Parts: sequence; structure tokens; C-alpha cells
Amino acid sequence: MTGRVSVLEIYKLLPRTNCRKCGMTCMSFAAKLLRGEVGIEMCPVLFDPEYKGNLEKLREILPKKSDKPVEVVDPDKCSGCGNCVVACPANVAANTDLGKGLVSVSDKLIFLVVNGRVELLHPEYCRRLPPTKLQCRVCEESCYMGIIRVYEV
Amino acid sequence: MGERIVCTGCPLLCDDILMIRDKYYGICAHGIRRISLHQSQYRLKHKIHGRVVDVDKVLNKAGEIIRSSKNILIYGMNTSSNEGIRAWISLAQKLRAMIAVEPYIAPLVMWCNKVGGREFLRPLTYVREYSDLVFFVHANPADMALRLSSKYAVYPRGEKVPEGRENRIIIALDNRFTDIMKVANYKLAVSDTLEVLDKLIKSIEENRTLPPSSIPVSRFSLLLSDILKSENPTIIFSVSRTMDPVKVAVRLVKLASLLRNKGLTPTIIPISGITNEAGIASELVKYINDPKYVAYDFAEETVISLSKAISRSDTIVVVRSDAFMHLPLNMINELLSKNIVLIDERETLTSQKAVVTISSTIYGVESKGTMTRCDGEKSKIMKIYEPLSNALTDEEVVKELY
Repeated sequence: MTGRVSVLEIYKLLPRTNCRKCGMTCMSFAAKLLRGEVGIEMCPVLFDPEYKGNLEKLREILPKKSDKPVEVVDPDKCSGCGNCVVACPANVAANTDLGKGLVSVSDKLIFLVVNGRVELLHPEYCRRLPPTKLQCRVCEESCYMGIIRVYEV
Repeated sequence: MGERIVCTGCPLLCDDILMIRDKYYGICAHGIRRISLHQSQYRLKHKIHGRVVDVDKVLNKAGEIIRSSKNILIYGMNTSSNEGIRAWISLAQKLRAMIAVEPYIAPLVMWCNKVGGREFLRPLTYVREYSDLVFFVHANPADMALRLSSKYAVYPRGEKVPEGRENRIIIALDNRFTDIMKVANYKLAVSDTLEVLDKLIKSIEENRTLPPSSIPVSRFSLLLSDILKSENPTIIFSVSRTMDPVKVAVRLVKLASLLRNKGLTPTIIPISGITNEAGIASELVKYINDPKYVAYDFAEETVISLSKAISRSDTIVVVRSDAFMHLPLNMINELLSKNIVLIDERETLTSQKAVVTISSTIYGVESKGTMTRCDGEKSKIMKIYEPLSNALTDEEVVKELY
């Protein structure tokens, strides 16, 4: 599965006291946590022993930080359906034929299906990276096999 | 740069696969598996009673069995080319034999045609360009036609759907949670899918929301409204082995007719996952034209059921199909007592039980011809590699047998 979490799931694990020690409400903090704009350590209340379980759970479910925006975690499971290739806006911007569902090869592609499985060619063009820094996850969402992961960079 | 080839791994017959120096770009797992078969250790060899023999001996033995048989059944033809299927039909006519297809594949297309679905059949390219709503009924592209969603039905951008997935409503109806449901707007995993179709039809007929027991009224109301708001809805359907295709096809054709009456332009595409299902259907529909049957007896010039065809025959010529793998147990028990002549590309369960096995070329990899895509469009398939020594096409086998 994609492992995607919602703001509400994160919010439920926060102290929900709205103490504003982090400078915002718990709901805002949850949203920023999800986007990777703030870290867990900004909420001191969360480190109280009574929230130990919540803290562990949060560490487990929050999107992991990585130096790469996207990864194909188990290429052997790939069926080569090409959903990620066609769904990825950066891929389609690099080669409009791909957007029409047609097979095409060119530079700057992030995903390309070769010999029945997807290859991650140029993740450096992913829209999750600066300057756009978009919260795009269409590749992850379109994957039938659930083998694409996106990370907070 | 590179060469475009047609993939024969599934009924989509993708014609845009790019081959550059033995690498295949855009090909899915089904397609690469089929191409890899060319050099596979599991290629079927010419054998008599399990012993490898040369091509002349195997053809002589097969001819001998056929000449001494009173009732012959020719069965399968899943990955045959259209020319190959025609050759088998002509052989069946000459031998006054019976011919049958797998119970789950070509009949799907025939049944759809029989109940009036043909008038709603449009090319998949039309679906890509115009379809703003795709309704998958018992069809899971992740199983049967891997590139269906990326090439035609879900993600690609088209003239009326410039943003692709964003402009499309995807509905998936099935008895179980399928992979297509992961990307669908409406994930309808319900036990009684026919009830859902009935309620959809009734709701459109009576202009009011009549939800099935398995879907909440608010959800069903939204679903109905999305269907009626679309301009070019497409229904892509398949049936499981335990379902009656007629029941599904009749309902879908009725649904499409109602939508057309409302001013929409509906499309219906049946799909089963077998490479040349539409080719088999188009070649055999003039004989097997009764929805209840999948076999035709050229001696009596009448349709018969598959179980009767098997029990009546003394020799079964199985063509590019693994009968022992997919037929029901009662038919398999019958098969065990028959002479089986198998023409296939690879070792299968059936090859272990066959008296004679004839190694055949792989259409679309080692031999050329034409096949028919699941939407009825003819496709020229090509030869990529030289066939392995002594492997024969269907036309060559038929010529040698008669």
C-alpha cells in the first residue's frame, strides 16, 4: 500500500491542547508536520511520558525524509502497466507523447518502462523538489502494485 | 530511432512498443513474457508419448491419429493469428469435425454482439480521446490488459479530456476489491453486481434514485448523477468464470441504450485477457451464434455444448490453449480418456497429457499475420526473430495434417 497518512490521523496523535508552544494550533501543526515544514521536536508536550505511545506512532507514520523525492521500492514486482509514466506531470511535460499514452523515449524522463518494468531515470526532475516543491504524489497513487514511494525531501 | 513492434501479450495488441537493440520500451510484463518465450527452456518440443522426435515423425503420427479418428474436436486457438484460426476452421470443415473455443473468452464478445452490443463497440482510441467516464464491470486491467489504464481508459490525455485522469470519472464494479479500484472514484466491491446494474437501469428508466442494498443512497445518487452528466461514457466489461456472460451483457446493452436515449454517446468494450479473443469471435461468430454454446459440429451443422463436444470426440486437437489448466474437473476427467494432439508454443499441463505435441511458432514474435484487438480493430503482427528450428505456424500444421 501507499502508506499515505492524512492530517486528521496526525492530529489525533498530537496532544490537542492548542497550547501554542510551537507557535500554532495543533491542527496547523499537524498539517505542517505532514508537509515536512516542521519537525516533531517543535512540540515539547509530545515528549511528556504520557504521549510516549503517540510519539512512537507518529514517528512510524510520518512521511520519511530522504534525499530523493521518489523511489521504486520493489522493481521486481512491477507489472509495467505504465500508469506512473503517463500520470506523472513532469514526465508528460518532458514528452507530450507520453501524455497521450504512447510509448516514447527522451531526455529528462523520471519514469520509463523498459523490458516489462519501470525504471527511475531522472528523479531530479520531480515536482516535489525545488523550485516547485509541490505536494504531488500521483505516481504513488497510480501504482497498482504499490511499489512507488514518495518522500519528504 | 528504434523500431515499433506490435505486442501480442494481451488483447490490447499495443502497436507502439519501441524496440532498440534488444530492449523493449513501454512493454508490460505480459508482453515481455511472451517475447522471452522465444528463448525459453519451456518451449514445447515435437514429441510422441513424451519422446522428442523430428518434425516429420510428429506430423505423420498426428496425421495418423486424425485419420483413424471418427470424431475430432479442435479446441482453443487463443494465440493463433486470424489466418491460423481460418485454417483450423477449414480443417474442421474438411474433416467434418467439431470446433470449440474456451468457455470464457470469445463467447464474451459473441454474446455481447448477440444481445446488441456491437452497435456500441467503438475503437479504444475513441475512448482515449473522448471518454469522460469509464465504468469497469468485472474488468481489472491490472490482471488482463496491463496498459489499458495508461494507454486508453484512465490516465491518457485526449481531445475531450485534456487533463487525462482529472477529467475522467472512474467507476469499478466487481465482487471483490480489485486493483483498478485503487484509482477509481467509485469503488463498488459488492456481492451482487447484477443488482447494482439492475438498480442503475431502473433508476434511469424511472428518473429517480433506487439504490441497491449494498450502496448507501447518497453515494448511489452521486454515482447516478455522474453517469448522467458524462458525455461519452465507456463500459469495459469482463466476466468471471462462475458468471453467466449473457446476464451481464444484456444488462450492459440495456444500460447503454438508455444512456443513448438520454443523449449520451456510450461505448461498450468486452475484454477477457486472451490475446486474439476478438479474432476468434469474428471468425467463429457465423457458426457459434447461440449464446448458450461454445462449440460447433460441422458434421451435423449445429451448435453444441463444450461438454458434449468433448464426450462425443475420440481425438482432441488442442491449439494454443492449456485445457487441463482451466476446464472444469468433469471435462478434464473426460479429456484424460481421449487422444490429445497439442499444438502450442510452450510446455503446459496439457502438454504432459498429450499423445503428440507439435512445437509452434509464436505469433507476433516468430511469425507474422493479423490479429484483432479487443475493440474489433485489425492489427498487423510482425516477426521479430527467426523461429526456433522446426517450429511451425498453424497454417503449416493444418497443411501438413490434411
